[in-house]
Amino acid sequence: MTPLEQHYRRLLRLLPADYRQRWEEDMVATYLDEEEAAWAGVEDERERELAYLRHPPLRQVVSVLALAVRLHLAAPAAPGASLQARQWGQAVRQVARLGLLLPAATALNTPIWSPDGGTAAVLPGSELLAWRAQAGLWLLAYLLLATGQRRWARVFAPLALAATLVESATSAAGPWILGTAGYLISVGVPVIALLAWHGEVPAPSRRELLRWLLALPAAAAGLWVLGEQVARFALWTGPTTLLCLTAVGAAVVAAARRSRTWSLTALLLAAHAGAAAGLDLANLIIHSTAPIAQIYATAHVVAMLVLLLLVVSVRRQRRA
Amino acid sequence: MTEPAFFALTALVAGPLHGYALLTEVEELSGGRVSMKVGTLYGLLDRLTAEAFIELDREELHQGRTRRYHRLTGPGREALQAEVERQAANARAASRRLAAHSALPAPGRPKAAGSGAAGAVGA
Repeated sequence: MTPLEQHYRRLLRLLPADYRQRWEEDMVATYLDEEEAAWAGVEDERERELAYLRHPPLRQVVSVLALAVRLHLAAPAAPGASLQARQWGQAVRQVARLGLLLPAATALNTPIWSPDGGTAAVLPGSELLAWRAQAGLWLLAYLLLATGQRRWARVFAPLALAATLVESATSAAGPWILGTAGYLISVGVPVIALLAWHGEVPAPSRRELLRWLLALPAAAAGLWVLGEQVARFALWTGPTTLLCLTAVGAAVVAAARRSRTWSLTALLLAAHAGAAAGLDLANLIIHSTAPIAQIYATAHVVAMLVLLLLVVSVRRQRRA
Repeated sequence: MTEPAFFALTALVAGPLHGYALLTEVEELSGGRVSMKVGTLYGLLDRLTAEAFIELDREELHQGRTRRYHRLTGPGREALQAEVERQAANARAASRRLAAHSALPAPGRPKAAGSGAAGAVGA
């Protein structure tokens, strides 16, 4: 076996085992046929031999990665896909949708169109502009995804993330606003999860579309109620808190519907929120001397660990 | 039916083909427009197999490697035929419309003074 063939076989390990069993030998033969055809015109024998020592070209690596995403995170009606791959696909798509809903609802909750930027009035002019840009882009990305414009959502969501990075880099605000790795994790993971919205995923039904469009004002109203009604909420609320609440919400839906897809969603959201909360805590330990902030951040991490264990044990019991 | 699936089924009409031959046939049939990567081809082959549009014909040993030949099934031929008829009907409808309006000025040509905004409509 040549090193090139070994590299191809290693690359194909990214694909699900049952798929590899069906197609691996054939795929390797096709890869090597293609390589041979590409080098057939080269007269220098040494150069032809060297071709079998190389790594697979980037375009082939990318196509295998794309295939791996399609197979592991399958569309609901993908022919030949396993039930597990469909459930994982649906769960990751829900993480993306809920993850985009949070910054979009925050943008709607804080009136980005008002002259003073609502609660963002404390920011100086240039920072207010940067804040408005990222808030508007998150809102747009969510609306595009909710209405089935996945291609455009996959353009605007990374733009929103980039705008958030720029804002975070230029902001002089403390660790509770932006500029924390925890915040970037909380909004960055849903952008990566958008990969699960591949070409095989059907456009949303009218009912789904209505549900996810209505979720935006509902989430914004929820944020307003939380902000207005909960005493000292402003001290500890933030994207990570909202993400933790979303994970708890997903677990409640999973329990009420006895849905495996929602329990996977809760599992992913709990891991996601836990990672963001862990980074928040590390950041606070380094930068903040306020013990109350550290206690809140610790509570977030513990709550997500408990939720993770709970969801995992319920899933195991149901499987048994 | 996607364009790669259309050309892959078309390529198999003439007889069973192995993976690499399918890649080159699809590229040739599409005039170089559809150039699939191997990962994309096998995503497509898996889907077409699950839909029973293609099936395994035979396996052959070539330079120590197993080449698998795929062939078109009855349902695959019917699906391709239906797609051909759909595309032909689309092309006929477009041709009829183009022929009916061939006397009109090309879009974007400056209008003569006083011709009115509705001049090009309903002529």
